[in-house]
Amino acid sequence: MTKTVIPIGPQHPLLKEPLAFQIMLEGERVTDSTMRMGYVHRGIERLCQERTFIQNIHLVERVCGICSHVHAMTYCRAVELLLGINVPPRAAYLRALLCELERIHSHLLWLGVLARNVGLDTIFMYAWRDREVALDIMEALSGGRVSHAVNIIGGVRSDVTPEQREEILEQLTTLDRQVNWLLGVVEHERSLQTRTKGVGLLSLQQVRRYCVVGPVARASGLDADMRRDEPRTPYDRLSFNVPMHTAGDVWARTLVRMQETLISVELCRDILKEMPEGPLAVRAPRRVPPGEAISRSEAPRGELFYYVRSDGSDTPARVKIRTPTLPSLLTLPQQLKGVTMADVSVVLSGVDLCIACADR
Amino acid sequence: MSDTSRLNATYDRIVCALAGLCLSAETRIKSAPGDELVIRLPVENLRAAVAVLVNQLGVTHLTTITGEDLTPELTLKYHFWQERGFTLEVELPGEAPVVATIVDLVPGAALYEREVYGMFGIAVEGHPDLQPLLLPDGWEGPPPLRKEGDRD
Amino acid sequence: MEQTRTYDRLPTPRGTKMQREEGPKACRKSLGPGAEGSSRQQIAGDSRTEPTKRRLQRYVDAVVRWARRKSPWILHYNSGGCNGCDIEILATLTPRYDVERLGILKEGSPRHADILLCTGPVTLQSRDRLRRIYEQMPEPKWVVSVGTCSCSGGVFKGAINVVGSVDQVVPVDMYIPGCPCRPEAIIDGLAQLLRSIE
Repeated sequence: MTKTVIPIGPQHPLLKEPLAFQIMLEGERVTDSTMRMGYVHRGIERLCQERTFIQNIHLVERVCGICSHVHAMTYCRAVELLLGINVPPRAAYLRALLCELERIHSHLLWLGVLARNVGLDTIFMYAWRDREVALDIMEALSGGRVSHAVNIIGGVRSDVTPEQREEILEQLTTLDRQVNWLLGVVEHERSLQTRTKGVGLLSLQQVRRYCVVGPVARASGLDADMRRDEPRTPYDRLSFNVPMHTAGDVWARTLVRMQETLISVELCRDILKEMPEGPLAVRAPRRVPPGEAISRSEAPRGELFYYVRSDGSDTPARVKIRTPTLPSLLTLPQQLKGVTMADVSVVLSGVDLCIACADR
Repeated sequence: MSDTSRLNATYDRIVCALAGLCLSAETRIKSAPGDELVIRLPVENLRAAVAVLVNQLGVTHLTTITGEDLTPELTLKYHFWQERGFTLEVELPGEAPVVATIVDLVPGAALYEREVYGMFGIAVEGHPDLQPLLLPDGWEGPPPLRKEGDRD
Repeated sequence: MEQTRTYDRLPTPRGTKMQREEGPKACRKSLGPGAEGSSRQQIAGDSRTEPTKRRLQRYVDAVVRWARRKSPWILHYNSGGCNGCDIEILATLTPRYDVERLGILKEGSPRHADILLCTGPVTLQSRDRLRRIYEQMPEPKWVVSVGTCSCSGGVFKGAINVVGSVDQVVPVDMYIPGCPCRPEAIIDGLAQLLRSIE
């Protein structure tokens, strides 16, 4: 059998993200693969140490453009822990609302990318059309489609008016209908199933060994969701399911993500209905007392982790960011082994890579 | 400022299991439902401690490894998760720091150890593929997160 | 909406410091077809057929320009950005914005592309890659830098691993600021670029 080495990336039609792969083939089958990261490494962790706590909100929001709000929120939570302040309940609800909207937009975006990679351009177009509804809501809430800049240390800076609330509830109904329809299409689309079933397999044991998080882990049967495992306001007051599957292939990941999208729509509704009245932010001092804080939250791709240490000045002494894509990247050689060359793009899009997150 | 009354059952189990290996255990890092446990270890006990966690307590999830330059020494924090987050902390000398790998115990540590190697120049002994994770090809100059060097 | 600036011809004077030291090897030629200059000189020698041939050449050039303007293929490269502009570029292809009605098609290979859309600041690791992609594109080619950090470095200015804006590595024809740019701004920028091709 002839052996071939195929380089993929950092710019490649198969891969939308700047990441370089060397895929070793024997005939049609992948035997081995190596990966080179760092194409979008900007040095954000070091830059954070050179800027003030307040400037850093805008910086960490630009770690990733897809889950920008959850980055800023997790960072702000860590600084609030250091300051020992609690955000007002209304601010916590508004943050969670944007988190859930971001999950909807991220998962629909991912479905589109997967569909495009398996050649179903129609589903790509539909998914991205429906995603615009979520972006519209976020734009109404914050003024930005992708980066929101609503988080400040001590709360949020934009509010929902009662008229907006009604409008958003109406848009959520549309979104609910569309996502349900999309889930129906995905479930009955045989060509999508034949391309994704049994591809990119990860067992529960592998997921545990490689410390994988998020939808990829939940599709292999690992029951972990930071919203439930480390509950904060408002998730401790809301009831929601964590969808789980056990097959561990790209198909199971599709189902997990689509079901999560539906749950997120439902959560958005509950959050809007139960949102308490009150102030949006509390005043936070500029100087942060010395100490260390850890903040975890559930980003669309899984557990997001921030570690912030302050030495008492107005700049942090250390900010460590662990994004959920990093452990998923580690499993790629395992997932790629044995698949055909045509399935490589399915595997790569199946884990929902965000290299901007992973490289920082 | 060890506040034993606040350690819940999980923390108690971890502290008991690692009692012979650690220098100190305290709930130091601020986190949401109460402060997080930090167990300080001598660097030569790290592998033994992780082995206890993995084999006896069934800990599987390593969130990440945080390196820090607290001139003159360096620290590494291994953030684990089992029901609650907790951290193992080791201290390394600033000159020629070396730490043993835990990849064979927790395979998910592979990328984090490579990152620590690139960003702090901490040699990870026994790592199967030790090269910087994120630095560009032909990076010259000190590891970017070390405090000596070109910092202005 | 963000303002867009148009540079229909790029200021890359020969022999400037940037070009000698780290500017792209491939120097920008005129915007017309590459062989244009030499064929005109040949025609000029033959005085009897000159007017007819020149007129013909002019017609052909006009048709080529028209065709080029009607179907620009774009290539997208993220040289170090946060994905924010990248998803907005992808959003321009989708039903709400549908940039394909302007004849614009997203292309995967640099060898088929007319316009390079760059997002993000340029990092050390992707600098040579960006240059290579630019050199692989056939003439004539245009570069659009999408997003504030691609135009100026943005929030990442001064980061240890960031070279800076895209125009420090390849010549840029159009700057679209915004963090991230809205799809409308991207479409407006592309439309202005296409108008300037005429």
